[in-house]
Amino acid sequence: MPLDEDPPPDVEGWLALVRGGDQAAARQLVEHLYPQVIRIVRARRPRRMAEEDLAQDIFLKMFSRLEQYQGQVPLAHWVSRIAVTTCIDALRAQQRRPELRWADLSEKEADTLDAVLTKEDAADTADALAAHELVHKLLDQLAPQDRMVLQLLDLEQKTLVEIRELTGWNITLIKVRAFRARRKLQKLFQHLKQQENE
Amino acid sequence: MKTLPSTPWSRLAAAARRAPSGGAETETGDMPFGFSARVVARARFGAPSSYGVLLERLAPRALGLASACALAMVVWGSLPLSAEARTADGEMDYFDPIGEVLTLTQS
Repeated sequence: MPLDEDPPPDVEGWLALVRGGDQAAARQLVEHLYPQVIRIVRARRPRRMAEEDLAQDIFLKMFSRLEQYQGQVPLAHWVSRIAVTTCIDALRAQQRRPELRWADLSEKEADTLDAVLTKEDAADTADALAAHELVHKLLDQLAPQDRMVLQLLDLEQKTLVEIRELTGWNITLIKVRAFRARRKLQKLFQHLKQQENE
Repeated sequence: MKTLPSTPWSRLAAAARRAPSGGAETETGDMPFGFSARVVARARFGAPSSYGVLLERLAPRALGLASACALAMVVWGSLPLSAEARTADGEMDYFDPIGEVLTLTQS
């Protein structure tokens, strides 16, 4: 092993120390898990919420539930689930947005929507940034768990197994949620199309 | 991985995936200064249980105990009275203090 390589983190050792009330070990645990937690927070937090506040909530939950952690899954997976559910709770707490109307879209977003509704090759030709904004406006219309499943599955292209590990939901539930969420989006597309034609 | 059938959503999602990352991946995972200390200071892990936490832990047991007591009282109340208790109750039924007072005042 090269000398300059860091030793692997002693997560189990830190956990034992933290359970005994060792604050230095708790800080090391936070520092070790922070990059993973902040990645989840940045991708899934409500737009109006500060990422640091949400990350802090996640770590506080982690410490308050540490007695429940039995080591059946890796700590990173367990913390990921806490992070994902905390983000879902934050999205739920966020005031529901008003109904999305065609008139609310920018010119580029309206063009992008028109393209994806009518052109088969829109995935390659549409304005990517406008599509990104439009996707988030549409996802904002969904329930937090539906939004989360589509974000993971269709945007981040995670596998069902990865989503199961991240969320703790079983595969059937993930498939059912994805199906329902896509159906809701389909209705939303139809609704917007009607508005365009009016 | 199975590809989605071509729908407006699948085309839009595919277009959105081409967008340069808005920060989630490009931003560093560096922790703000003092973050871990702030979290640890607020966490209060390993600290002795507060009364609230203690009550929270005991509440389900207390509920069980209270339910068992309530059930025992219902069973106790529905048991047939013993002969002695029935006689005592009967004596109480026949004694009417107000009637006694009225009788005395009228006479």
